[in-house]
Amino acid sequence: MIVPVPGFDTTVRLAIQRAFIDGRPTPSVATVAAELRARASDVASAFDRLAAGHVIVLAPDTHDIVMSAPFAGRPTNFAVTIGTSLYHANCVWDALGVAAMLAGAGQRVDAEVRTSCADCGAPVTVHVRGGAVSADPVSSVAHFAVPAARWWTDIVFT
Amino acid sequence: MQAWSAKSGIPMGASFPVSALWKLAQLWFHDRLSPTWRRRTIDEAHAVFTQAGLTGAFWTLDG
Repeated sequence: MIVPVPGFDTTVRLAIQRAFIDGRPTPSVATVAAELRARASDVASAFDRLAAGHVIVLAPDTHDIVMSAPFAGRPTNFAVTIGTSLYHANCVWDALGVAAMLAGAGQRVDAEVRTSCADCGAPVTVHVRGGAVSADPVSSVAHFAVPAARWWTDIVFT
Repeated sequence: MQAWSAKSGIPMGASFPVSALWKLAQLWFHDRLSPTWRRRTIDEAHAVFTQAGLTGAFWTLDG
C-alpha cells in the first residue's frame, strides 16, 4: 500500500511544475532533490507516490517524467507559446491547460497552441486572446478517441 | 472524421467545439498550481465535464 506524504509530495509536485514553467529541462529526481535540498531517495519515493496517484506519469521502471499535466516531459505535437516561452503538452486539452493553469495563478495569458490535424496533417493553431479562444482553421474541432472510463488504461495513447 | 476513423482504425469518440475544450481546460487546470490542489473525485470530474457541456456515456468515469 502506498501511503502519501501530503506536504512533501505537494512540495515535490510544485517543484516539478515550476521547472516546466521556468523552461528548465524536464525535472529529475536529482534536480528536484537539489532544488529542495532533500534526499534523492525521499524525492524518488515522492515521484513514485505521485505516479501511483496519477498525478505524474513515469516511463516504465524509471523515474523519468513522461507527463506532469499539463506538461509533457518530451517534445510533442502540441506546442504552446506564451510570450517568449515554449511548452510541450500531452494533448490539445493539456495544451489549453497550460494557458488556463497560468491564468489561474494570476498571470495574464495570451497563448498559441500549434498542432496538426490527425487526419491530413495540416497545421492547426488555437489562439487564446483576452480569455477567449479561436481556431485556425475555424472548422477545427476537438476529438477524444478514448472514453473517459478508459483514459488511464494507456494514458500515453489517450 | 468518419473517413479518418476508418483509415486510422481509431474509433470515433467524442468531437466537440474548441470553445468547449477551452472551458474544460479552464475548469480542470485553473487551480493546478495551488498547494491545496488534489485530484478530483469521480463526482467532481463529472461535474466539470457537465459544466463544460460534455455529457453522455463517453464522459462517464468508472465508479
